[in-house]
Amino acid sequence: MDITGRLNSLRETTPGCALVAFGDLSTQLVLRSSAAVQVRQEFLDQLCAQAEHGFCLQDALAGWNTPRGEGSAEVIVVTPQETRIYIRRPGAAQDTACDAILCVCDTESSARTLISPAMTLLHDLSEGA
Amino acid sequence: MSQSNAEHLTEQVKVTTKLKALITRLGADATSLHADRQDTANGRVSLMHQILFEIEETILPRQLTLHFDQTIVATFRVSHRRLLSLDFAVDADQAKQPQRSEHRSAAQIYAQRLLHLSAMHQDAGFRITRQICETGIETESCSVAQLVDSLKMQQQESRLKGLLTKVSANVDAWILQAEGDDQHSCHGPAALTRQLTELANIDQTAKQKRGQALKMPEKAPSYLVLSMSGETNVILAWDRSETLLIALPTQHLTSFNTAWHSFFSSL
Repeated sequence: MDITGRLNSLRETTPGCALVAFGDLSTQLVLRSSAAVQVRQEFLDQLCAQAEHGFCLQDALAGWNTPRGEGSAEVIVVTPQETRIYIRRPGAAQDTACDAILCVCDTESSARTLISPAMTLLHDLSEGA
Repeated sequence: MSQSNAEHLTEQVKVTTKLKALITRLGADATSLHADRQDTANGRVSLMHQILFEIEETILPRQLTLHFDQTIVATFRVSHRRLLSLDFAVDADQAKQPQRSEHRSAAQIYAQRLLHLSAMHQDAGFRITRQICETGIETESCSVAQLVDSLKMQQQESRLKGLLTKVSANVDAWILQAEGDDQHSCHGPAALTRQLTELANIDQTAKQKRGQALKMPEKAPSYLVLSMSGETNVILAWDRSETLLIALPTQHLTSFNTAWHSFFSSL
């Protein structure tokens, strides 16, 4: 299955998930996305910028508090209407360290169920699967 | 000239000016009208300003319907330049909307509902449609001037401070900072508040550098959850120009989430 198919599958099998996207945090570009309704490119770009900003804060916090300064795999943003979760692989090789899955869900619990399958997807993508 | 004459003349000038503006607008070519609509779709016309304008312009009873893109989000009944009712369209939102209480005026309730609508309105374009309607026995109406006063008062209050009072019992440390303000209030162990302050500075610097790209959602309150260690999380909550940073035990994350939703959906 190609990456768009994997994103579609991830979104469709997660109740309450409205959008799943694959982005590159270094360039802040969304490379592929799957959404229940069409979304504007500006919204996707902003999701990527917000994810990069969240991980930047997360890394600063980890640098002060963990022995190896290794940041967490996910950052969550909650708004009155939705919960966004941004997922990355902290131990990834340098060329895929900026890959991230960006998701928009209705609740935090729904968003958290995406962490494990999104990590698997990132792993598969880094392996070229 | 007596004061009442002067007031009467001022009122006449206002009406004449409005009429002239309307005639000019009707005489303008279609591209400028299209540009107006485009401005609305692009969010350059303030939703709040437009709603207040519509109320001020309405003499005969009308039902105004507010749409975000294709979705109806609220209906207003207006007559004699007064807001008679404001109801959210979606059933689920009815539960969230502020209810009438003994101690609050109609203007305060409607102002809160308008702020809630304004917070809901993000990237979508909006439009307002009008229909003839009948009025009943209205006891809870208010004028635009009363609404504006209530809006001003409510916007001056720090909502994050209000949230903090609800959750402070469960947090290890917090700092509350206003944008562009060097001073901030804080509470908790010095080492922890120092880290929160540094984090707030990184956040502010990035926002100053990156501008609009990071101001999302622009008007709605939001919060970010970070992990400090296995047992502690850090929350960055934004509302208007304020940022609240909280360090709290992971076990209290769910109760914070519940308190935040309950606080902001009641506004």
